[in-house]
Amino acid sequence: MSLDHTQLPAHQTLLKLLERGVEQSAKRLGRLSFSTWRLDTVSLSQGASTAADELLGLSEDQHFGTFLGIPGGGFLLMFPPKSGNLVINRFTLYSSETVDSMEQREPKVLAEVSNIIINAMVDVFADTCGQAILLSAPTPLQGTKKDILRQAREKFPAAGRPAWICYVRLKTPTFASDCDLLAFMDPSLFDMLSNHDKPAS
Amino acid sequence: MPLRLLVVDDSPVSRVLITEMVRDAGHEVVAEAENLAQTLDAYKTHKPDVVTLDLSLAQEDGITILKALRQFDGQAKVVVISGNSQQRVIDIINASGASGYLTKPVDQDDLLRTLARFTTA
Repeated sequence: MSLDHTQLPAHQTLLKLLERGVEQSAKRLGRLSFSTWRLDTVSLSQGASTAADELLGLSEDQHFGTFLGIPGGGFLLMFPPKSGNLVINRFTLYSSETVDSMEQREPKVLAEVSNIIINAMVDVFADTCGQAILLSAPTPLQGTKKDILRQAREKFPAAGRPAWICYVRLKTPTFASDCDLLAFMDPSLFDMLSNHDKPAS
Repeated sequence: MPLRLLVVDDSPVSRVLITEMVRDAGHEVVAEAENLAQTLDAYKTHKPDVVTLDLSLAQEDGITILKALRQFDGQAKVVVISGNSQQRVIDIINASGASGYLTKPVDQDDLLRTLARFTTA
């Protein structure tokens, strides 16, 4: 696991919270895919030119993405076809042919999977900050990682680009694959999450 | 006694999975809905024994639908099935009259055990 901890206490507080959230997401992903997922990379960056852009720009392969929004932020989960299909097959293991024969099966199933996984992370944020946070309905996206990231940024509710992006990579030894998760935060959400341990003034 | 259910979820995958889980125990899904208008129409038409309800929907959120259903029928039995398990949200849905709460990915045994409470009521 590599951690891109900055030196500012607020960033460290936020990274710890993000890691706790991601751990819960990984557990839930493991539960629905009958496999073990581990946190491989977490990094936090600010502004338009981010580490996430560099990491995501490496692959020209097609991916399945899902975007989910919250007030002041959003989440993007991306699966490469191999691990996406393995997760789909395991999640729908006990269902009949109805799901198998569904039109646009892959993006629809991964949208529901992403909804379940991201909710686990948002639960940690909400409970820690004493808030109730409802995720938007998931929006399926497809393309290269770069294409999907561009589409997700267009859906981000804040004007312009988000102030902060957290990049997470999860890996599973069960079927030697991975997925990418990005959390977008505007300044107000960043402040709320990074100052949750401070008494309200 | 088999139950007649209304499944409210905007994910077709989730609706299929819930339908298949309850069908195994002899229950019947009499209608599906994705938003408030469809839910109220289906509830009035089919008068289901139990409604299963997701919280993150494309139009209205599930809490709004729960409150509207309970306003229409104070005896409506609504089981919330959601990926969201935040304490404040659970407090809100309990205060809004939900009869049960299950976290996704929902386990078939948990779902059937929850529904069993309504078969003997």
